[in-house]
Amino acid sequence: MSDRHDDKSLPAKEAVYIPETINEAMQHLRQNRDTTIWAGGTHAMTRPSREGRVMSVHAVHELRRVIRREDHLEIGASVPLARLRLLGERFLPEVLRQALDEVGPPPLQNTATIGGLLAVPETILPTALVLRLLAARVEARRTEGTRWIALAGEQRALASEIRRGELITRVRVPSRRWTHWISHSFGRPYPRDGDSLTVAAMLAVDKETISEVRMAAVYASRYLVRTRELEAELVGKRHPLQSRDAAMVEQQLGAHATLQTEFSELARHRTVHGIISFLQQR
Amino acid sequence: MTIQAQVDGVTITRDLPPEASVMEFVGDGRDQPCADGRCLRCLVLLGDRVVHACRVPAYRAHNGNVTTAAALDSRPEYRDILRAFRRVGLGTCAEAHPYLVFLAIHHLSEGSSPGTGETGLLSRHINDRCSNRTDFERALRIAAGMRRRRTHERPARR
Ligand SMILES: Cc1cc2nc3c(=O)[nH]c(=O)nc-3n(C[C@H](O)[C@H](O)[C@H](O)COP(=O)(O)OP(=O)(O)OC[C@H]3O[C@@H](n4cnc5c(N)ncnc54)[C@H](O)[C@@H]3O)c2cc1C
Ligand code: FES
Repeated sequence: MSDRHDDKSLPAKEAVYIPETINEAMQHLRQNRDTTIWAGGTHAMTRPSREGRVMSVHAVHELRRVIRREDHLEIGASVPLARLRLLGERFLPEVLRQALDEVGPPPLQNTATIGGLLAVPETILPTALVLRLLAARVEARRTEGTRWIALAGEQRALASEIRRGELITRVRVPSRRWTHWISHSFGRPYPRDGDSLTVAAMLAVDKETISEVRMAAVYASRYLVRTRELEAELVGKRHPLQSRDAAMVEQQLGAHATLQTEFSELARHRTVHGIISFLQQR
Repeated sequence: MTIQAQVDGVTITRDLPPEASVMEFVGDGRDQPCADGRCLRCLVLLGDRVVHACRVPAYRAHNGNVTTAAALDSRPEYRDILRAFRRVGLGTCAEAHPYLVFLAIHHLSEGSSPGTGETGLLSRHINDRCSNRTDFERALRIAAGMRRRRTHERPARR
């Protein structure tokens, strides 16, 4: 994507700070503790509660790179979703590509970034759910140091884990192959006030036997359901799933506390039956 | 903050807060963006990319070029799209025409191959009363074909 229109020398007192390197960004954060970080701005610009000065990281070179390693893909936080989708035809896990296809009206993807998508406050968007299932990890930097956050380890939206003044720099996505996958949303996951539901799952099948499965659902872009015990129990079962095993999935998934208390009846039904029919499909 | 950019070839300078949008910068006469960012009536070209003017901060346009619907007819690189629309009879009402043309520009600029599901991803965002998905998808295929022929027929200039 061309950035010819971006210029960091905005001629104003209250200019937005637009760093071009991570070093510049970190130095700015060190000197201005109350900085608010924006990337594409598609979500952030609509929030009137901005504090301090804005630093827009959309033009930071290092954050716009995608690097393919042997066993994972490293995606800079400021990579626009449109660019990621284009790369996706060859390099992204198909389930991630499927989730990206669904994000907003397509032109939005020219400016919305992967880092921004993960950091929308109090919200787990469909693509973020898929990244969790893929066991993606997020690098966050602050002036004191760097840490990696395992998305799968978080029950809540990533934004609640990111501290003020902490910059998301990279997302690392393992490039394991899955034989079957699904990512499907009902309703609109954004803005987060509705009744939307996203169900995502992936499966590795070897000689008609399940060797690995991951599955989860998010209701109202907020309530996350994932049961690892059930995932573990499904390993070794025949694929497509037999009716006896499907009954076990229905019982265990249906008993999940969040599903029972937070999901609407329709969302509960769609989650359980969506996952079962995924597991029973050839 | 002071933002300066070319809008349809005319230099505009405005003082705006950081959260102001390209839509406010362009001042296209609409008071408010739609509530959910899905009406698509604010689409513009920022440089060579189609963007939601209501969801891009105005500072991104600083020292750049914005092309609005008003100037699209004068851009020769989009004539394939306009011709394809006419052939199919698409976007004849004033409401539909500009955003459909921008969606088509987005599609062709992505270099995607029509028919691979990409057209469907786009056409499901059609939200006016005088267009339909089938015609839009057909127009995209025609425009892509025209563009392919044109670029193959003419040797690239060095
Ligand atoms: C009309 C519309 C429809 C949408 N539909 C969908 C949909 O169908 N599916 C879906 O998944 N999403 C959808 N979205 C949400 C969209 O994915 C997000 O708005 C977008 O990805 C946010 O990216 P951004 O770069 O614009 O982030 P910004 O708006 O710039 O920032 C979002 C948040 O992330 C923080 N942030 C950004 N970058 C960093 C960083 N590097 N380090 C630390 N914090 C950071 C900001 O402080 C802010 O809190 C939709 C949005 C709109 C406007
Ligand atoms: S004004 Fe509706 S999408 Fe921008």
